[in-house]
Amino acid sequence: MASSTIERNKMIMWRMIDEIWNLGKYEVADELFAPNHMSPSAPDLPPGAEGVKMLAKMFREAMPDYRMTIDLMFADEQQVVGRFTQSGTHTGIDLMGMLKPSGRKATWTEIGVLQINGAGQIVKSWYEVDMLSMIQQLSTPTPREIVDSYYEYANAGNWSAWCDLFADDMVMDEQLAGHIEGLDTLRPMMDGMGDAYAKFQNVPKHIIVDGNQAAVVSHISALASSATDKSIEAEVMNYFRFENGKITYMANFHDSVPFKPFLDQVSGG
Amino acid sequence: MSSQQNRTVAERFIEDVWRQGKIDVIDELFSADYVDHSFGSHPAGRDDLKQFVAMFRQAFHDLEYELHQMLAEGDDVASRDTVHATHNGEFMGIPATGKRVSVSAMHFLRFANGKIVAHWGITDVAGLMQQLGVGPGQ
Repeated sequence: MASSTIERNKMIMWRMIDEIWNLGKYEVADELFAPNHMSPSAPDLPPGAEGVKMLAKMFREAMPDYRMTIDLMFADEQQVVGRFTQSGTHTGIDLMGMLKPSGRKATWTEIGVLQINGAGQIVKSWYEVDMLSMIQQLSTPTPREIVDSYYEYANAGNWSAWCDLFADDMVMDEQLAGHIEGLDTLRPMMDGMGDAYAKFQNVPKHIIVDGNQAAVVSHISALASSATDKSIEAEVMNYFRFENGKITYMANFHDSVPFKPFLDQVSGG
Repeated sequence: MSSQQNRTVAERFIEDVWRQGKIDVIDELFSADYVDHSFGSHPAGRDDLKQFVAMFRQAFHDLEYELHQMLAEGDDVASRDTVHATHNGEFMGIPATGKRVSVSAMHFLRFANGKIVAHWGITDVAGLMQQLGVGPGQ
């Protein structure tokens, strides 16, 4: 008898996750949850089956590919406990009234306990969700987004926003400017960019993102302010490393010869 | 080792280490190759756990460790708890606020040969930060 109750309790948790959360069969909640069910972890949610329906619906509508897997689950006669991993791409509705859809993907963990009565209904539930990690992943720009912003801001001449893409302890190896350490060093250097070039366009041709690294081949068309009759045309390759939504390292490589009009201007030639 | 013996070890971790502050008991209860999966994305070891408990107990005084539920089956023990404490020291860069806080958490411990070999835990860090006045929406 005892072991069949334990198996029943595990089945209740399994059905809650698979049928309600993964498949969106919200009506199953009416079967699994007692009318007086409440969750001390989320006291603002309505009692009974409505609370879980609201939550599951919100996540599934925010993340059409939402998925929850059970990493481990076990039970006794009155309760069942589980460790879960959830993932989804935020392309749908707002999440928790604070996160706008970003197209970003998140993976986060949860631990939950269900207390089950003699009739096989969930009467109380407790959850601990790694919300901080989920929010962080959904609100941090991806490497691809940062790369796109890098060229967008450069071509708009918005060097202040461009500098904001870098981490405070950034390192850069720039073909012409040399080795630069720290955003405090980079920022004043970039202040002069608007005056140094009459025109500056850096158009990406190939972008490869691999985890926390990216490589971009681009073409620069520019005019130095003091030599607007001598156009600068150069193929460039950039290498990036990212951490926590910021550029931590960037190196660029190109032929310096096309930049002669700019270099002559800098050296006063 | 039976699940009952594993439960006793989990209870000693709470009683001896968290409540009484006997950090060195961790060496007795946790295996040398212990892996903690609850320190963000980087797996941590036994020394990291000792440092964390010491750091937490230094930042939070008059600690009351309230154990709500503990389940044991096979090689695993799961528990749910709330820690009540007073923020009297610097914690993760936040200067002492003197506030009494309550932090809820759930844990899974994995056992082998009577010692804890792995831990997966989720703590309501967002709730703690809110109570300290530095959380989202503050």
